[in-house]
Amino acid sequence: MPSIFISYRYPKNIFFRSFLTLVICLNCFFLIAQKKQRPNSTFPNSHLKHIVLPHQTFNSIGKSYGLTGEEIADYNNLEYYDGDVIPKYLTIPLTKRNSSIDKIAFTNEHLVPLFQIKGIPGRLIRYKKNGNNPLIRRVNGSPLLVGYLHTNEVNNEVVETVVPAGIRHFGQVKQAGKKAAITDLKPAITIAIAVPQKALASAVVGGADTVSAIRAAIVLPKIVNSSSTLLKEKRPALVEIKKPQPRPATRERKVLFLVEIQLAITFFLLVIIFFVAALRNRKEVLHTQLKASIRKVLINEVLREETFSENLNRSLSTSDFLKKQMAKKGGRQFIIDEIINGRKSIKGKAGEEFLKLYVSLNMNDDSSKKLKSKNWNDVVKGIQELAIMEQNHKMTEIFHEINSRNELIRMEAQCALVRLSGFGGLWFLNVLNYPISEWQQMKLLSMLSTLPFSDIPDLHLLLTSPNESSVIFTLKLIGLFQQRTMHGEVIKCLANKNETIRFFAIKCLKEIHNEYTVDILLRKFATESRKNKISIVKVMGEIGSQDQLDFLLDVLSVDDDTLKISAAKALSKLGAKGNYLLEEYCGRRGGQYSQIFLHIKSGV
Amino acid sequence: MIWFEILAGMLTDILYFYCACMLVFYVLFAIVSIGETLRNYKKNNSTDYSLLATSELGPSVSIIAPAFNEGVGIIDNVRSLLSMYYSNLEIIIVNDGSTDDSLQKLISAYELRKVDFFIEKQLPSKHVKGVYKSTNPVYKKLIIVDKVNGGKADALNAAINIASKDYIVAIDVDCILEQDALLKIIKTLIDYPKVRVIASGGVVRIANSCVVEDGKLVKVNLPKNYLARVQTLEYLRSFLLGRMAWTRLNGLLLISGAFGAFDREIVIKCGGYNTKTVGEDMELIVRMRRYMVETNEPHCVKYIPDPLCWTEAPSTYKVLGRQRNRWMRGTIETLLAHKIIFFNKRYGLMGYISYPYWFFFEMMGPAIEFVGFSIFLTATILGIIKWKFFFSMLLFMISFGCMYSSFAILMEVLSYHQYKRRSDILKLLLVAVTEPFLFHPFMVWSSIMGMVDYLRNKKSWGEMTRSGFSTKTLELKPGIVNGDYRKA
Amino acid sequence: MVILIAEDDPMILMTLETFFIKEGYQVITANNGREAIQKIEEYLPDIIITDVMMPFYSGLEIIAKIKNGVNKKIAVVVLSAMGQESAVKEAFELGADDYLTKPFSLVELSLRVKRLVKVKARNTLYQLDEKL
Repeated sequence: MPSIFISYRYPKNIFFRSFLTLVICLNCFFLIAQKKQRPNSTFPNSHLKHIVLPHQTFNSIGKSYGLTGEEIADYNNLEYYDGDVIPKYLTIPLTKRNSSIDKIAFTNEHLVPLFQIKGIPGRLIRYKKNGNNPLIRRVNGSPLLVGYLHTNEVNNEVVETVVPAGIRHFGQVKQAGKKAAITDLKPAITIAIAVPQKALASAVVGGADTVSAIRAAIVLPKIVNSSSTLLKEKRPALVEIKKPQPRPATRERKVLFLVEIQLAITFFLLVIIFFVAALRNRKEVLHTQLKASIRKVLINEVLREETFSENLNRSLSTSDFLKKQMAKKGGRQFIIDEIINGRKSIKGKAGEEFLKLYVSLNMNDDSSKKLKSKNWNDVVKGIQELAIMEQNHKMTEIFHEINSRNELIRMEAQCALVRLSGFGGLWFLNVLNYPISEWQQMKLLSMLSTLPFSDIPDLHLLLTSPNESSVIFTLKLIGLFQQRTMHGEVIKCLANKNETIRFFAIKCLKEIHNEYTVDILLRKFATESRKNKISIVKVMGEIGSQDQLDFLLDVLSVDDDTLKISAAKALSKLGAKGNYLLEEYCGRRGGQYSQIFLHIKSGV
Repeated sequence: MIWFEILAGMLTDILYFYCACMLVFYVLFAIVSIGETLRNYKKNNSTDYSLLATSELGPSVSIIAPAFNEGVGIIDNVRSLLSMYYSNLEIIIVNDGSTDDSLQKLISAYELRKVDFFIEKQLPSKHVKGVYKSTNPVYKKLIIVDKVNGGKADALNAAINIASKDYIVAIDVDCILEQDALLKIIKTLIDYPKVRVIASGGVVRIANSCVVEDGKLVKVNLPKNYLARVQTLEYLRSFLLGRMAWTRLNGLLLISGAFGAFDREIVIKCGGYNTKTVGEDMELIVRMRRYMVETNEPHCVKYIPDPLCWTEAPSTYKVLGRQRNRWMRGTIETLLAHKIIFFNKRYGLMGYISYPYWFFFEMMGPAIEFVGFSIFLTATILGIIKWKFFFSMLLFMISFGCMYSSFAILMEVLSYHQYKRRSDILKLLLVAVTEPFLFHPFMVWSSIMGMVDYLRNKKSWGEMTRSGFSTKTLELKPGIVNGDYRKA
Repeated sequence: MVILIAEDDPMILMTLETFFIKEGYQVITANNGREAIQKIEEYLPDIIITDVMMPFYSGLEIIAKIKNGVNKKIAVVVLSAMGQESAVKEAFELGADDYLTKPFSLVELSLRVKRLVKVKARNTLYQLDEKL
């Protein structure tokens, strides 16, 4: 294999080179794009500490910080999964994308996010319109981040507040030494502070109490832990997660799950494959055994000189194997097939013997049973067997299927009808609701052509039937059995607007022509389609006379190769004069025409 | 740089969506084909094909087979064609300017004699040097045409000019046909009363390692060569699942050039084979369908799941690479020549499903796969995607492939059951597992080289026409109703 | 009398084989055209009963081969499902001695074969006479 890879030496031609370049560019593009998304705290040691609320997922947390769930999971050295986040808190990387704190240096400190409490109108906090700062996106009901409290990890004191770009507080939070001071804040700005230990505290910030309130909130973990009553009544009820979490589904696990399903299906298919293969192989072995034994028995029976007796059953019962198979459906079907095969190709006394065998083995019951089957294939088989075995008494049952909705049953019933009652069976054409396929027409016609000729039923009505395939079939029938009395009706078909019907009418007229046919066809010639013109010219060769020589010579000069050669052929069929005229004309025109003449002369 | 991220995200999503669509298509193929294949198999059981072999009422058929330097097996192949079961038949072998002794061999084996033959110029083709017929009346079905070399499409056109029957069956002369292949394929053409069947085809199987005597398949074996074996599986999948499903939807755009039957009238009306493409088999079907749509005639292209034709598959990477390269070029040429069909309301299902499928999955598939995989791989190497995820995705694709392949094998076992040994089936499955590593990358590579070659050749053709070497170029003009494409 | 029966349908082949053995002939069978041609050379049968459509070589090819070869005295009866005039004509033009359409009657076939045997015997007698 590798040789072919090597055989393509590096990009001599521009297309290959540009293709490779394109691939490389696309690769680079994706890599850069992916790299962008890789979470990387721009500022070492500065990150947010997010306290996980009940029912928060990586994604919902990520979205409120302008990051993806996967990035957050990665940053915390966790595997990403859908579903509630299990750890109690997460650290959120601070990057240029999600914060405006680029100028502040931190030393191992936390920023605690401040959320706006749900339900309180955000009037006091304004967002820049159309600001695309991810921080002020409110996603799926997750709380809106309005800022961070910069705390010292050691004593949880507020060092300062950090306000993300795009948010302007009404009040200013100023830095005051080690303690935060919030001045000029209007009273009753309510902010929620997510604090450690799954607690959600709300602090009423206002006036002189602001600082202490915030401080209180920040130090809340301790308070909560010591079951403080400070904010007890305002604290919303916590949802304790009691039930054990299912193992989180990672992306890989999801894919692997699908792989497992596919492998299971594959295995299942394999079992079926081997089962079916074994079944079919067994059937085949059985059939070879059956072939050898059953044929011998059948043929011996058929070729017996004395009249048919119960010998068959005796000879069948001598072999245990055959006896067993006779009781089985598959075995019986095989025997039926063999009998039918014999019946189809052998007639006379031996043929009759096949028929008798079929009846004496009660195979006709098998066939009749199939008629009632729900499986269309069985019904078709049943009808076929009964018809070939001339079970006339089953005719009425077969008639029921004549307009069956299943195309194949319908077709088989029509054939059976014609096989059992000959031309008389053609009455079904009158009640036919469906078109007859060309194959079916052929089957019916060839069946009819082997039958002893009897009176063809009245076909007048059929020729004007709206069912076009019925008309075509009737025309074929008239032609094949040369129903000259139908001449007038067929002529009418020449006016039909369907080209194919006209085509078959012309063909049919060849078989049943009388002294007027030629003139009528010639009159139609000018307006006919090319295909039918060719057909008319060909028919002229068969039924024309000396009078048509001029017409054919005219056609010979037309600029259409097929018409020319057809006309030439027709001329050559019209006796010595036609041949002479053809030779004379071709000799005069030369070139292509001499080739036509040679072609005709060589008789290919 | 938000746009950058959004674009990257979008492209990733498109890749995922593309994969998902492809998988959905495959699953649909599998589901749709079950009913159609089994129905056909059952139908076969109660059909007496011999009627077509014996009755003169059946449609007449011309087999046309172009041969170029096939001297080694041509006598046997022609013999096998002569013994085909069919009543109203003529066999036209076109010697397309062979440089070996094919013609002499044929002349002596079949007692040929040059005859004067007037060739109707219905389709353009290179000069025909002579038409030969046998002096022995047994071979009166046989016509041998000797012509100047002009490529496969040109040879087929020459043969169509000489053919005089209702239907033409185009075959590769080195193909091994089943004894009843003609009966089945022709029956398909005349079995549908409501629509006109303009073309039909059957399953092509791989003949490597099979026992062939005197141009007839005697015993079916699974190929011993790995490449041929992979192709066996590939053909099973594409014929038993893909094409059967397209048949059911009446959206088939390709009948294999190795064996296909066509309505001669339509072929001539729409201009015959296109000599300017290497994918003339597909191009013809698309053009015929277009012609039928543009003349508002209900039509369909049918496929039957019967194994009708056995062909030798390339067993070296070099030859296989060339074949796939050619297929890809053929596909591109065909699709681009008929781009008007693309999402065009007028063409119905062909415009909305078949053509886009071919465009996105057959034509663009290898390139997209290559780009996508390379991104995926580099991202993994650089640690952006975890190896764990990479391998689980890889495993996903492989297991999907196995599932799809085993489904194809199941269909085969359920219907025609050619590979009977249990070990054969196991071997096929093993191939399904190893194929993604050994065969598929090569396939993608060859197809991409095909695309590259297409672009390169197009350029050189362009230069040729400019400098006036080629005066006549076949233009496929859109929207020509009622007429000969070629004359326009 | 040696009869070679070439027929691709095993059921009919077996029927014919059993039938002609009962009639007292020595019977050789062939499943396809190729086998038939091999066995003709090997056994030189007196009469051949052949189907037309067979794998490898058609019945018509067999007739042509025999009638153009050294064994042209072998009588050939064609057994075909094709009943149309042109097919019958073609077979006789190639040199077939008789033609039966399927479905055929065993009795009729046997009578025709007997007649051919008689003709053949008479011919050999004449030839002997002439030589003498």
